[in-house]
Amino acid sequence: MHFWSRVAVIFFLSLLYLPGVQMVLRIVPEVELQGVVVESTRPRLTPQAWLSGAFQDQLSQWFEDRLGFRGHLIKTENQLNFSLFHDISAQTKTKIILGKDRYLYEYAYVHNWNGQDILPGAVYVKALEERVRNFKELQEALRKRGITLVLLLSPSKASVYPEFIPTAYHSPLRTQRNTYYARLRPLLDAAGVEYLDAREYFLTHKATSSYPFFTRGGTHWNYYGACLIARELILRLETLQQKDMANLHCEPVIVDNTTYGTDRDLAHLVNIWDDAAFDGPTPHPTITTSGGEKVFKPKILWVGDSFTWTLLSIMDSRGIYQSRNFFYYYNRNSSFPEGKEVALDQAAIDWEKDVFSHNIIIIEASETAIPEFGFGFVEDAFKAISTPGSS
Amino acid sequence: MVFSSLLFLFGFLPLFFLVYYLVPARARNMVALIGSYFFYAWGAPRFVLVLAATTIVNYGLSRWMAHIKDRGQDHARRVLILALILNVALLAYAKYANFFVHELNAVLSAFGWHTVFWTNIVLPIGISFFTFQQISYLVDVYRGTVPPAARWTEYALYVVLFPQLIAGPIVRYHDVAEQIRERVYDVKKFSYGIYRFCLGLGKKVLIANQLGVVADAIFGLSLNHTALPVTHAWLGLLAYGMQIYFDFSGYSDMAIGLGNMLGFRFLENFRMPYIATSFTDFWRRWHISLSNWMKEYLYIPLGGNRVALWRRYLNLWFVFLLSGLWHGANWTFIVWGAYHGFFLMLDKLFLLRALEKIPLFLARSFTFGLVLIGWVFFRSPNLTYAGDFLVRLFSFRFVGDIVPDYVLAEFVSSRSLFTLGVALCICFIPGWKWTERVTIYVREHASQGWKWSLKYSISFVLFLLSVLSLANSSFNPFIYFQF
Repeated sequence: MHFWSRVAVIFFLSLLYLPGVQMVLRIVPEVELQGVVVESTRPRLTPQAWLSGAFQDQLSQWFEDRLGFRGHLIKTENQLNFSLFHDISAQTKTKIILGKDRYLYEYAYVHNWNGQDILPGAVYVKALEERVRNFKELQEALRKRGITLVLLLSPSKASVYPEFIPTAYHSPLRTQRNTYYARLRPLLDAAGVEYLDAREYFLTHKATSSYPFFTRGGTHWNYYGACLIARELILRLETLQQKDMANLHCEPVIVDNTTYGTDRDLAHLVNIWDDAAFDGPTPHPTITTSGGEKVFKPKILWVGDSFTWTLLSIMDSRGIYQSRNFFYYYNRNSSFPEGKEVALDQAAIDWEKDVFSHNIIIIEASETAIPEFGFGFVEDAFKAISTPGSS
Repeated sequence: MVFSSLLFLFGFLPLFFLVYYLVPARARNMVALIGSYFFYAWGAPRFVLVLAATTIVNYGLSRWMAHIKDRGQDHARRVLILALILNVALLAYAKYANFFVHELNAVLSAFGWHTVFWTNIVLPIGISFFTFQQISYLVDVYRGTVPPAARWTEYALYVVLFPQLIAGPIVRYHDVAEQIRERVYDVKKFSYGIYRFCLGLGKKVLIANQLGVVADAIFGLSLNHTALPVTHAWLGLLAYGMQIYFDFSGYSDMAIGLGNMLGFRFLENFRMPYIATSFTDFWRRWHISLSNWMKEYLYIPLGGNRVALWRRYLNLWFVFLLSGLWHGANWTFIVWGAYHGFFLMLDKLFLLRALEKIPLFLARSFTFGLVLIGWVFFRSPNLTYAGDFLVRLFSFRFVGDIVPDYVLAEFVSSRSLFTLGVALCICFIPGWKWTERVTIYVREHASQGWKWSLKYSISFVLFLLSVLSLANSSFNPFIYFQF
């Protein structure tokens, strides 16, 4: 009996001390976890910090972030829940839903698909109408200056592939509700706004397409889907600009089970050991351009959300434009070909130099971003263009 | 700092054990005392002085009381009364002043009078527990059950010992006085402590926390605008009933386990309460330390079973009203206490005899059902909500609106349903006759080695699974950089 007691004590104490030892000495390589977190720093002990409890909270967070074997522990927990219970237990800020056939969805998009995120009352409708009006006015004002403004509506996986959404997440009231998208489309048409509806494009071509437009493990369109939209966008811009641009081609398509980049952004967040759990036949387009050397290569400004990144990864390196800037959520500016990314100070924008020097401005909005499409850029730009001499 | 946190498990505890067992045995009380004050100060930095001050004042009063007892019991009684008033006043002020002023202002407003200006007081954590412990010590000294502690450090250690400081069990001084002065440290005790601690950690993290998500989601619905189906309501209530049991008993197990690891033996606080055959039986199994305290320091001084029948019932009901109030400053807790007091009175009148005549299974189901319904009051934010929820429990409405369905999809996972099943099995299977037979058989026939290895394998699996869960809940990434 004493022997077993001693074994139990030694084993328990080993379990207690091992993470701390690993934390300090890093004997075993730590497993990297996917996802973006705010790095915690070791707090400074001051009487105020102690009395307010801030020091304790920060030290707890710092300790947890650096605990030895943390990556191993988290991946094991998530793997156990996935394998035994078919649950996604990752405690992500972006809630992930495990759909049928291992399709992953962001909760926000399923919520949006159900029309659950609509604000009550007519307030939001008025706000949307005003936003469309502002957009049309800006479009006209920019057209007069020879700048083409286009709205690109990005689809969500939930809209294009609702068949994989678990039945428990199908709201029986869904068909009685309007989504933001359903509200927006007639407003755009009535106002005569120039836009490209990628959602409509995907739904129209879904049945006849040989390849899916979204991967199981990604929240954004896959590279094939993005290539098709980029191609359509360029064709639309040619019509609007009345100039030939380099055209994109997305065939032939190679299908295999490898996924990378945004094709597996949700799968990454799940943080399980089985890396290939959400992989499946994935189309990889062979992207080429045509049009020759004398095509028009504009300067493009994008304002949008994360759906834009996949488009840029296709278009940046294929000579579609001479340069581009991307106002990510109208909060950060990523530029090509410089390859820089900096915080965007909206108050400090030199509108003539930073915005109206572009030939084309594209505002991209995903379905959940529709209520605030442009993220304030449209209103600021219209104010800037309407005020002579202001920047 | 809670026991079920990574910082406690892998930061505080290893360092504490290292120092505690490196120093000579005679210095361990001081190490435990300093460690316990640090533990309390970590979570309540502003109130640690309040805690220290109460131990100094109460210790001083206990010494004075013992000293003047020679002059007569009356003098000692006056000191005891003073001490009790000070302790109860502190508890009343810190825990109930906000509630009383709020209710007073509601009455004043109803009459159109000026309300009382009041700034809400922040509740010092653990005050209900350490106040009751100090009262128990003072009364024990007054009664002569134990002499006052020889040193303030011994008394302070009794009050602030970190395993039981924040959430009990309520340890009576006479149960631990001898252990504070001298206790045995051996591997067997330490290993038993490990077993209890791992069990408690598993109960808290793997069961209570999981089911708490379900209960919180359902009880978090605004019932004004939600058609909650009867199935959802019972699911939420069942989840809560399991959550509160496994949370509380898990914490008690951890406290008992830690106590053993430090050389102390605390009394049990829970004994399979959901297989109780009556409310009387329930209170011999649930929060045993509180019911013992209430009996010894409130019910018996009020007359106990020596007074007239009507007075006995009134005392019983009053004790449970106070018991409800002790749990929290809200009318819901008072009603919960009154609810239990009512059924205890019925037990005394006729119910106990009636339940003894029916099959065990029925008596247990009846009691469990009523106890479960009582939890509605305990969990609800106010009496209106409690009433609405009770209506829904018996509404026979099987179709709801979208809100509860979505809530189920979001918060009730396969794992939580599995956990609920496991929780129900743990609560009820030990009460079955054949379980008892199997247990006796194993005890008599299985080898010591086999029993011990099974016991500790389960413990360490629970520990590891709990740590996995805790680690996972600490990592909350975004999909992309959020500026």
